Amino acid sequence: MLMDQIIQCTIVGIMMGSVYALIAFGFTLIHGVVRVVNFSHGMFVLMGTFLAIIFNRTLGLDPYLSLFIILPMMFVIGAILEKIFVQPILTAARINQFILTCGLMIFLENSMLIIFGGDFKGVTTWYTSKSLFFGNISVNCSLLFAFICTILAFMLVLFILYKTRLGKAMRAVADDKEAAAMLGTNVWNVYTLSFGLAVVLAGIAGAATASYWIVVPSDGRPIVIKAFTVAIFGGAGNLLGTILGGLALGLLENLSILFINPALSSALSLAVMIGIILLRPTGILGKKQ
Amino acid sequence: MGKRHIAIIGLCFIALGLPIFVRNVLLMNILIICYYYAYLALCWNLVGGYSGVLSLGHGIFYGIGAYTSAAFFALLGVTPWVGMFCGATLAAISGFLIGRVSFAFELKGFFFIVVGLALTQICGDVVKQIELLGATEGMTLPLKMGWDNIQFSSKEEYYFIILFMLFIAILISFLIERSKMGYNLMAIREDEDTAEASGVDTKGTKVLILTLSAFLTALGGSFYVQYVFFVDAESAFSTGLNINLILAVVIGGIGTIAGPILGAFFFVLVSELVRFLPMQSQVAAAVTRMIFALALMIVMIYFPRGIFRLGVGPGILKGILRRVS
Repeated sequence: MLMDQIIQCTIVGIMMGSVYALIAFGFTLIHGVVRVVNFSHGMFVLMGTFLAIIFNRTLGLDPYLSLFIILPMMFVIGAILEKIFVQPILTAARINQFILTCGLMIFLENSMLIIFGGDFKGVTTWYTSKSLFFGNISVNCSLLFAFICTILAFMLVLFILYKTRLGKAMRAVADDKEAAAMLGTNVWNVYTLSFGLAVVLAGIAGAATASYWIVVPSDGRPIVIKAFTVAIFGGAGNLLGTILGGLALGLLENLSILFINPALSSALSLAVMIGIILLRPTGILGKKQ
Repeated sequence: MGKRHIAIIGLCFIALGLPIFVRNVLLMNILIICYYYAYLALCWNLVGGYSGVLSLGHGIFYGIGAYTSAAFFALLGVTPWVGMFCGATLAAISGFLIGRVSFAFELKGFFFIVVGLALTQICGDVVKQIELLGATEGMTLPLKMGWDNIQFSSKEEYYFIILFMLFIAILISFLIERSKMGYNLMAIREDEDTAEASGVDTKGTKVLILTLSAFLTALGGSFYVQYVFFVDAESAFSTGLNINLILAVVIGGIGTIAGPILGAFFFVLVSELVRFLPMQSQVAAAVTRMIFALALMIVMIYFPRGIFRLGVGPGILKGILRRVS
């Protein structure tokens, strides 16, 4: 019986972990290319979820179909916010950048609170409460679809990063922005496009899980803490590390509820994160300093 | 005696005499909350403003202060006068440990923020599991009015207590600004490596200021529990209060004395005024925070030293015009 539970929690952990990895990948992309720690990243995930809810309530669209409308919207929103708020402080002191992205987080959180109210909201579709059964193990259909969607999103990102000129420019700017600028890259446009892409990734994660969980606007803060945790588990700016970090967080959260009080499972993962910060600030895969 | 001294003395008299003229309970409450926010903003400013270490972990110290005095009073019957300082000492010890550990590991900027956020959430989650401390329901203080238990039915006593605390916080900020420690802190804020190279004990100074700030913040937490007779984990160990403080401090002018006070007054007054608008209180609070967050971003981009430095109206216009042209 315990064996079944462990397998069950491992499957859920891997699926949730992949969603965390997608959120954290956008976060580390901004950190690596634009060199800003984006506290508002969790809010973009919620924005994806809420947009999916709107399209579902008004047009009756399935969350996965509405992705095709949501993603361009998210890209434009991310790019505009980056142009207006993030670019002017890129040359300022680190503390000013932190305060600014904190401000962006509060701004987005409260705008969503005003628009959507403080009640829990979600999308209910025909597959929300459906599960596939394999013996004693069940897999929720919404979560399975979210997992598939996440894998597709990762393939899209890998394609953009390694097969397009934009991806090449992003990697060049992340490596050495002065050299990239000297060789004729428009660094400011690369910043905007990377921010937009990262926001799109957050939007995919948000919309794909819209039918799986219910959210309130203040959930953005715990989500951004999860993104920090994954980034720290995996070491910032490392694609493989981020994926492994996301899976590690998902597994840790879901397996720990078998052994300790479920209300303390996120505290446990945060405690592990603080331990990693203290012992290996470059992440599990990172080189020791 | 310059004009400045006369103005400060005049303000002191006005603050002391206000309760004679203000007989309205609602207005008194707003004044008390203004002072209370100004006090906490100054405490946060000690760390965030002078040393440039952005702390999102002040909820821990606040919560420790609030819970310790509440638990001592409700469970053991110890007077809050003792509980307050026990809580503050406990918060100072945790501030010292957090600072000692994180600065020893060279956790600059980002990592320190994450550690603060994570620890706040861990503390809140753990306290919610302790039945003795009321779990998720929170603790209500038994009512025993009088100076012994810092519980009063009228607002005047609270007014003078928080005014005194605010005065102490201003005095401490003033003394630190003009001491060697203050200069060391500002050197760290501007360029930590250079400060280190010039022989400043950067880690020691940062730990010391964090400890002091934790002590004072915890006293603020105890005061608020005595004021509302109630504490719960959701509001005590929260990042929300800390974020409000950052809004107030940054908009007023980070790293100054007048800035955080004016910023806090401004913040409280606007949030009270917004309540009169015809909407739900939850929405009204959200509108306030949204306006302030927008103001915070504009301040950060155009006037990183705060709006009260420039003389509010014309300064902003001039700044924007210069930026645009």
